[in-house]
Amino acid sequence: MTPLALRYQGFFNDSITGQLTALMESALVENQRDFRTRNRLKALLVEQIQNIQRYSSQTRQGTLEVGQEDEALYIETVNPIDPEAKERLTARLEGLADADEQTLQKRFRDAMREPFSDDETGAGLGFLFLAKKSSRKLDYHFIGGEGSDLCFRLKSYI
Amino acid sequence: MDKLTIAPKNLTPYIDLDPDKGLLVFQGESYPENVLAFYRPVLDWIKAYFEHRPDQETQVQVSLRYMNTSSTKIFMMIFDLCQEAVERGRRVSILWKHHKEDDLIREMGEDLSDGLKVPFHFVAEE
Repeated sequence: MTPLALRYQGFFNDSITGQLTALMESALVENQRDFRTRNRLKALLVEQIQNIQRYSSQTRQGTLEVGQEDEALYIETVNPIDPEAKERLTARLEGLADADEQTLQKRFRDAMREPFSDDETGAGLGFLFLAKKSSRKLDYHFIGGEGSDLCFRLKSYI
Repeated sequence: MDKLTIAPKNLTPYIDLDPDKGLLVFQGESYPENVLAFYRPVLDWIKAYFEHRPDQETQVQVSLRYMNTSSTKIFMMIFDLCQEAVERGRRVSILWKHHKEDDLIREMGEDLSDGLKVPFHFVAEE
């Protein structure tokens, strides 16, 4: 298996999401990755892309990178955010990366049953799913701010 | 009441809601970013169907290769409508098909069926 790498920077919408997932799927098949890896990569990739669409402060702009560290494939996304989004994101992510699978499972089932909130088109389930399915601790940071763009960086592992 | 059929697209499934057969079919993939916009007519149709066709035995057949987490919330809403119908005496069941190796779709089905009082059957396919 040769190392995989993909980097995309720019605008995200449903059409681009479809093209990027199709591109990754064919690269993984070509690379002889198994069903489980292909399945997880697509699931985590879509949640991270849609997270950019939801939170980016610059009309769905962001950066996506898929690569490999040791044996593990990773997906990293970076997007600019408004300062007030930092609080919302922090509230959603607090405790997630360190929670055990059972706790995440219960929170996921509870969140699935909550109504859609007015200010978002998504379900808020994405982070719980990413934390639950990332094979290594979900990694997130806020970078920049005070003079430069405040950005949110999120990294999950297959 | 008319049948509702939606052709599959890249990020949205084939949907066929047939009031005469009592079959509500979802096939393919479901991951549009704005799931509510896409599924609103489907949810409205199902609500109307349970109102207008109380005697029709109904099976919901879900056979998805992939769904994003927002779509699971939509299916929770659909299954809640099924549960309300069952509570009013309607005969409804859910068939959840998945690829035999697809533990993610299987697990979504388990999450959705947890606590649901509608007969829920899993079918693992090749």
